[in-house]
Amino acid sequence: MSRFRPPVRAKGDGFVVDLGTDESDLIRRLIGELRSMLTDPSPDAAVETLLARLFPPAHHDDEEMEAEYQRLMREELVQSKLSAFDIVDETLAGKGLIDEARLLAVMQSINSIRLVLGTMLGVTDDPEADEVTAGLENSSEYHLYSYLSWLLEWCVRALGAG
Amino acid sequence: MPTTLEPTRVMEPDVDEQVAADHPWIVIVWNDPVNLMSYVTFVLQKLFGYSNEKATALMLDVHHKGRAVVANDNRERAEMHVFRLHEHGLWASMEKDGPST
Repeated sequence: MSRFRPPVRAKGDGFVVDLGTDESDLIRRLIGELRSMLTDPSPDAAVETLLARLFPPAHHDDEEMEAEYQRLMREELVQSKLSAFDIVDETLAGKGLIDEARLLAVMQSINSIRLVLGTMLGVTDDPEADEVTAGLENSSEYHLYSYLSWLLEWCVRALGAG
Repeated sequence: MPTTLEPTRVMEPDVDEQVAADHPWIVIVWNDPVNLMSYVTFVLQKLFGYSNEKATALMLDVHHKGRAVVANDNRERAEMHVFRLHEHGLWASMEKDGPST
C-alpha cells in the first residue's frame, strides 16, 4: 500500500515539489499559455478580460495617479510573473530541494493560473452558484481549478511549516 | 505690542497626527471569490510581518466586510505594498487616508 506524499512539503533546509508527470506537464502547459497571453503584443478583448484580474488598478478614484502607477509598475509586474513562470519550469523539470524564494514563485504562479481560470469560470463567493453554473462544458476547467486550489493549499501549508 | 508676560500659545502636534502625516496613505485589500482564505492570511503575514492572529483577523474582515485596510504608509511605500500584493494575486489598492477611515 503506497503512502500518501504531499505534493509540496518542507524537507530539511528547503522544500520539495513532488507532482506526477501528468500534473507537471499540465502545469507547464498552462504556464506556457499564460506566458503567451502576457507577452502578446496586441491581445484581443477576451484575453484582456482574463488578464485584467492579474493587473488590478492601484488607484480607484484617480485616473491620473492610476495612469502614472501603470506607466511605472505594469511592466515590472509582468516581468515578475514571467520570472516566476521560469522558476516553475525549472522546478518541475528537476527533482531536488528548492528554497523558499523559489517555492513562493511557484505558489504565486499557481495562483495566477487560478485567477485566470476563476475569471473564465465566473467563480463567485456563492458555493451553490459554482455547482450550478459550472456546467458540463466547464467541468474539466472546474476540476482543474479545484486541483490547483488543492495544490495551493499544500504550498501554503509547506511554507507555514518551513 | 503686547506688554503682558502671558506666554505665547505653542501648538504642539498630536503624536498620532504626526504619524498620520508621515503615513497618509492606506493600503486596502478587497474581497474576491478566487483567493483562498489560507493564502490571503499567509500573504499578509509574509508581506507585513503580522502575527497569524492579526493576519487572520484582517483576512476575515476582507472576507466578511468586503475590504480591509492592511497598512498605512507614505505614498511610495504604499505603492510598493500594493505592487507586492498584486504579485501575489490579491486585489489591492491605495487611497489617501481621511477622517472617515
